[in-house]
Amino acid sequence: MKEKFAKISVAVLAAVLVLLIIGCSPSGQTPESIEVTRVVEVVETRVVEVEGETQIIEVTRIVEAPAEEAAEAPAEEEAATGGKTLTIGMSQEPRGWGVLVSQIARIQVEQSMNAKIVYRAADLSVQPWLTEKIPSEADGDLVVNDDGIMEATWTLREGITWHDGTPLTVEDVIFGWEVMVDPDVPAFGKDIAQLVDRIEKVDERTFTIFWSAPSIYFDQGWYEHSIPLPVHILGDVFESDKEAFNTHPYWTTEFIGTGPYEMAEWVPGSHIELVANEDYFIGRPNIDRVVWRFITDSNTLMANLITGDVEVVVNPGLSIDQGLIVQEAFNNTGSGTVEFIPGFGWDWIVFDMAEDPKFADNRVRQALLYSIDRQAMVDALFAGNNPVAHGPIPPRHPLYTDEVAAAHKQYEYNPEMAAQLFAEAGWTPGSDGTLVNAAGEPFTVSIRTVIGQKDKENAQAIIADYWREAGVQVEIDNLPTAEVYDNAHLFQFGWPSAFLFNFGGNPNSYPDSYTCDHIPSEANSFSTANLGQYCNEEFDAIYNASPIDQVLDPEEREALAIELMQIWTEDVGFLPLYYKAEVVAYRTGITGVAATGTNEGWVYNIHEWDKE
Amino acid sequence: MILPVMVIISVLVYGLLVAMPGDPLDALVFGSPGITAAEIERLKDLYGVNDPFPVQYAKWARQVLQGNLGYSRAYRIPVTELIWPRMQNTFVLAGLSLLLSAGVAIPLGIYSAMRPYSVSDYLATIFAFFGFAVPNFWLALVLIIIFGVRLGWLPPGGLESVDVGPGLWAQLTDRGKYLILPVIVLGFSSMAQWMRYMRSSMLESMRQDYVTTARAKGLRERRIVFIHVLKNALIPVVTLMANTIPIILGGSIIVETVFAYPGVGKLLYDSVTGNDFAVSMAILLFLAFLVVVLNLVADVAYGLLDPRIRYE
Repeated sequence: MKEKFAKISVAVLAAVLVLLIIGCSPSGQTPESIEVTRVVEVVETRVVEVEGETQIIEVTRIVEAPAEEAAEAPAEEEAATGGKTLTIGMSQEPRGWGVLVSQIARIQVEQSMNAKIVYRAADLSVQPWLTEKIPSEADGDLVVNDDGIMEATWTLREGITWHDGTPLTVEDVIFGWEVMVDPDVPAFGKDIAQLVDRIEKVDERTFTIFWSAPSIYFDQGWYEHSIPLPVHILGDVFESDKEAFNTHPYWTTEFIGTGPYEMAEWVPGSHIELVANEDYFIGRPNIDRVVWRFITDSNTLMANLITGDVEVVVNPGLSIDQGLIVQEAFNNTGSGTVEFIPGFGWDWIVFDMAEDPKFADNRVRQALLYSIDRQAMVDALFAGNNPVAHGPIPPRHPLYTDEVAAAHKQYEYNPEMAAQLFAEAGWTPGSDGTLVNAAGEPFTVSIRTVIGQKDKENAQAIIADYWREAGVQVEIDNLPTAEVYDNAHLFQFGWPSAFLFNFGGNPNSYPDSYTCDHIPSEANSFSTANLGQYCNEEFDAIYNASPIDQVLDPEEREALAIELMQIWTEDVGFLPLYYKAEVVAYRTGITGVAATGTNEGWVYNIHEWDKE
Repeated sequence: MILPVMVIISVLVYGLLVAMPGDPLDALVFGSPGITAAEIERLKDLYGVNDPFPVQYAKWARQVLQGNLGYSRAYRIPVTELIWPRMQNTFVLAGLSLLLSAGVAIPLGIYSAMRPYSVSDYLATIFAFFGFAVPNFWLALVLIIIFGVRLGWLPPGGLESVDVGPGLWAQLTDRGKYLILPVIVLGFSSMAQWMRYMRSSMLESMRQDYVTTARAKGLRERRIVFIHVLKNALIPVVTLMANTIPIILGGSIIVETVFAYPGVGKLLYDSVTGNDFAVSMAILLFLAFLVVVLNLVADVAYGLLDPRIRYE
């Protein structure tokens, strides 16, 4: 018997040891990680002008070396573990790179690896990045021809190379656009890219984009996803096999860009490690190594930030209430800063007017909006950081001038006005205070939002209370994310009479989603975003006579925006609730963070960030 | 028997996944307001989303039989590449928590049974009920706040440190630090359950005639408990443990999410919510296979522990 116990004990101990060894083996040696080791060799030395300063740069070639060789190169190992390391946290993990993936997390991490034609700075100005300047009519490189075709001519900066050492070419730029508009490539944002008729090479660094009609997106290349792609890696497979192209490892494990950092290791589900690109065309980054950590539970992400295991958190990361908790912790210890940046997303309520015609009467919608004290709601829920929304254009949007703001009809909390409008629409209080119509039917609303999205659920509960006070019978009917985002639910009006949801929004969004032909229908394959079924012929006539995203003159654009917002806010096809602020947090000693608050990336200047 | 069971399970699971709302192209439609119906149909044909269920299943089954688990549409890499490393992480987490649970539950159960209705037995019972009642995610957050944020002794989630030094020992201790809290949380509820089973099974066995006989023969109590009673008392506990392993793996979904630990549980959750069929199928089938195999293991262990049980 003793022997048996001894055998069992030895077996258990052996199992523990095996598990420990497997578990504690360095991640870089497990198959999950993508270990990329590079040897840099200097090819030539050039004198270039970067942002007005003359700099001497060494043009280098990066040669990939097998991991075994890396083990024999102590200098490489030192570079990997030494120097300054910065850890950035997010609650979402990128699922690949490039225009095949629509994810804020993808955009954030990719921005630290890959430069675009332009970037948007914290002041929301669009700045040239891979290019020397943004075309303008004054400089003669932006021309609108008599036939309506607009030509924008761009010049690439000198000395830009991909991370593998291959020079960036105009062919790469044109290829980036061709991929976006190819019908077999499921690229995001292709609707704007399709407005470009063609891109022509002028010389080795210059190209002209021909837009089918004037477009305010001209200053961003062919829209915000203007990213060149390496022809030398993807060109052949794009021509021969689209399925193989769409699943090419370039989009995941073999990604290279032209940006300040190169991918060194990706441990899916955990982190991505980047190392400084010695040849970054603007200058070597100050921080040697950046580790993006992905912590999907935002409470755990918050704990990591407070303890310093994560040093910066960008979007998607902390909610407003979590930002307030971290701010308090930081204030107590002086260990960091939390910024609440007015964003571009906004939450709203829409109604299924086809299903329940009472909501088609705009007096009813106005009355419902007058019934809610939105200021009290945002003060209670977000400590005032999410301002009350009055329309679809957020205050930081380039279109939101003082004059445009003044054109908005505002609906301050006014229960008397609400009661009056309900009465005008035929809804008066019954004996128990419930609003009823002439036939004695009660005024009912069944409102849905997404289970688990606390901000929305809390707002919904408060709104339901205000509406009950006004005499409305409210039923709450929420669903989980997967069902809410299902096409048949979201775009084919599978929701009950009211739906509390959101638009992401960015500085590029213009009020085109509110025309009648943007109501989702079979004709447009239920892919358009006018979920409020907002349809006003006067609005459409103004918009179609001169589509606002085709008007280049800012004053004309402002005049149009004033007219459109006057109509929109009178109709309130969408009940605007609040604009959403974004949260960025960083620990003391980290400098250079200047988040934009847009969904176009916040780390455009990461090469300037530093750490004490 | 395993093969037909697995085939039936695979058809059922595949059917359920296909019946779920949404398909892999929904996100594209949501993010591309200008996309046309023709473009969507073209892409659906390309992805095989429009194929009827039997065709989709047959395509998938043929791939699997050829050793190809498919391609993750969400992560854009082959499923095997995605799952295997995460499975290793989950095995480590679940394996250590299993050892911790067994290592605490069995001795504590024996101790309680040897002193029934004593103060220490009541304390152990309170501990067990606490283990039953406390949800994983709550315990995880409390431990993170205490040991991660307040005391700063352990990292508040993750797989490994950013700046772990070279050398196996440094890497071992670093990984170990990250495993302590998730292992405790994952093992906690099964620890409580097994302790109660062990206690009642021991009490049951101690009432048997052969124990009275052993005592009458003048054997020492320690020898009676550890040699005669324990072996018999372990039979139901071993069966329970074998059946709890898939539950521990299932419980790892929450623990891995809260502790940001890249394991297969979290991947399953992400793949189901993200309509990543190939990944969901592979993980669910693996879990089903594990249940079938562990039932077999429990039956074999049963036979080993109790010589009266023989399988024809």
